[in-house]
Amino acid sequence: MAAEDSKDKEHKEEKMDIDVADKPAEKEKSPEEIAGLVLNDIKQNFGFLEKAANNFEPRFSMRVLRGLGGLRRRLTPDIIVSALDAAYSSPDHKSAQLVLKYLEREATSSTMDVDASATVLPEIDIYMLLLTQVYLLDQGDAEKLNAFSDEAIVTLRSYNRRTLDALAAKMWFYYAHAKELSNMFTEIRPMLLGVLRTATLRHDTETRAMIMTLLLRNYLNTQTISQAHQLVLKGDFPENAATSVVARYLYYVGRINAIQLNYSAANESLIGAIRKAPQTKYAAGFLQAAQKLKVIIELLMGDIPERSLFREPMYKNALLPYMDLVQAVRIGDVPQFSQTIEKYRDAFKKDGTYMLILRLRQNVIKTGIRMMNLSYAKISLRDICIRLHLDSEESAEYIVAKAIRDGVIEATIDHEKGYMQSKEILDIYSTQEPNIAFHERIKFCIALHNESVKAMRYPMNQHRVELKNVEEAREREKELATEIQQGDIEDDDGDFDGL
Amino acid sequence: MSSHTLEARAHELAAAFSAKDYEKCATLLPPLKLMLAQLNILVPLPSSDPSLLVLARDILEIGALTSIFLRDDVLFSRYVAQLSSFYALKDKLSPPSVNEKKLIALRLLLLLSRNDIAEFHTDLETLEDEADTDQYIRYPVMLERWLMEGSYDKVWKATTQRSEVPAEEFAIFADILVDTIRSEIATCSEKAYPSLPLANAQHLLFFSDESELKDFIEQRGWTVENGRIYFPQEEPDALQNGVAMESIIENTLGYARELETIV
Repeated sequence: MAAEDSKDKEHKEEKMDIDVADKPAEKEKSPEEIAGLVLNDIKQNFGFLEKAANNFEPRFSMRVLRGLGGLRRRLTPDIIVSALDAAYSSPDHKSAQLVLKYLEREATSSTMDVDASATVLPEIDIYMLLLTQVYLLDQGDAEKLNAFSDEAIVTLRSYNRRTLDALAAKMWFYYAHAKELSNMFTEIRPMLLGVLRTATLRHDTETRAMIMTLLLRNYLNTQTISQAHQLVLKGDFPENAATSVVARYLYYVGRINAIQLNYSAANESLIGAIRKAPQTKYAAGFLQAAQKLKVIIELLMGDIPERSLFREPMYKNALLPYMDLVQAVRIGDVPQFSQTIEKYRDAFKKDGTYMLILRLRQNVIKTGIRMMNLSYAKISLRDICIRLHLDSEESAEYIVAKAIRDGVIEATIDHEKGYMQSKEILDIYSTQEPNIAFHERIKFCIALHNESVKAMRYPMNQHRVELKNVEEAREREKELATEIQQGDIEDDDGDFDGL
Repeated sequence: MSSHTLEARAHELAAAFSAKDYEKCATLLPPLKLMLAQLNILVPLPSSDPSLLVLARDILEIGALTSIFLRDDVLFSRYVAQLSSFYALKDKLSPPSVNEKKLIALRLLLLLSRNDIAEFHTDLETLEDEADTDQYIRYPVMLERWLMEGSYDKVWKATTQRSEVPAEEFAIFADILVDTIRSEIATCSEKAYPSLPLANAQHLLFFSDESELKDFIEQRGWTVENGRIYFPQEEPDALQNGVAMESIIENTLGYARELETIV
């Protein structure tokens, strides 16, 4: 019950965040008031972090991190500086000094109680650094962010607390992001690999998942696909990490699989990535990228993506080039396909799907052949050649022969007379096909069930309460049993009397 | 061991290579690599001396090309793997390598001839822009595209006509590739034609004379009657049914197990 309650609250809070961001009426509030609200939020978060640290309950730190997105848009240096007062008891604290240095502010020491002996909770320390990191990122000053991240990471690494994991993962994310902005891909690899090793040894699931994802991104950005593949093969990705990280990881795995022609595996990963990603407008970029890749992979597997996908407002504009592409593949029109590639070349290159799309050419030809195979009982190779805009009849013959071998069409070729003879269409229900399709679906349902079971939250010590209940129930049962027994005896007696 | 002796030996190697004395190159290379290892530049580090790295790169490139001419695939792959870390440092090494694209293209061609398409695409993904523009890399890329769509006649032309091949090293793979497309065409033909006249088959399979075709027919186990080839028709046999039954049983048992855990 407690879990549900707090969940409800979270929902409300999230909603409120969005409201604040959206409603123009809120803007009428004076900046001081907003600053006060934000400061309050931050202070409240300190409370949650304390709770997380004391009760060893990662849920609270997750919750704080979830609010980071909303908070981020309202941060100002003044707010951070005043939050520093609340966080650190002394302005001489190392981290406080660091934050002030990068915000180019002086400590407002007048309001602080000087008590050097008190130490700050590591969670709160890291949270403050994280806030500053996010603020610097939004300022768009990559160099400053980079330098700050370097120093913040040193502080992070000086701690070794499991309650810090979620925050640490986030901090590593912004660290890697900062390095990426300054194009330092190869430089940070040894660091990330080292952190991965430490995280694995410490059973730090969150950081491990995050670092693996960051490494994959790093490898893919520098086109070192074989290394990325090795990491996926050898690295053991923790399945129970935060869902958003899992979604990102699955997306990268899908990409690697697609490059290595493992289309069905890639498709599965991408479906997982899309389902696990948050379905809000803040994740639109990720979802669009995943959908783009998925469309191409479906086409490569010989499937046609559903049309409704391209109508959804979130994807409509982003997927426009891909819709044209799908249309060309669907009708097997080689010239239109080439034109589409020409037209959107830059967009495809930017999305990193260009090389995959080039592989589609053979699919276009195959679809074209299949269309002809379905429509004509007999068609001359010359006609096929003209329809598909192939260079020679000879090529057409080889291509048709290959299509037959690959099982794309059911036909034979008469070489002397130069035509393709279609075979009667096979009754699909006499084959293994329906069986396989059913198996796929059942497998999916079972996997869904198992994953749902795994995803459920089991509050600690909850089973003790249940045990108590069970004991009570048993006792009641016992009483009931004795009563019945007694009753039975009485009843029996009564019956006797009756007889 | 100084860098001067290394330079002198490298010159000797380059001279032997341009004289096309590949055997001599092969004997010169191992001691040279040993020297490179002793100077600690066999694997480039950011701290290494750039001029030495250029020297090392050129030596390894000659090694790679030599191994192609001597048809040592394994050695070639190893050289290319070593070179890739040099190519990653491109901006620091000048002059830039003239052989880089050629070697990458050759490696792609090697993968293609081994039918290792997944690896082929993995390598290709690293070169996005050059795939269309570079004359060397274009060659294996086009070959792969034709092979995949089934335009075997174009592959045949590209591998056998001198004018189509971008450099002499590429011609070495011609034999392997022709073998590959021949066996591809043969398997396609088995499925696509009920029967085929001998003369046409010879043309389809790119054989120049009949005896070669005869050998090939024997290898594939086709039957010839009245000047026509008859392909062995595969029957939908009982064995396949047995496999299907087995998979059904396996699936059902799997469902039962899963249900057990749910209930």
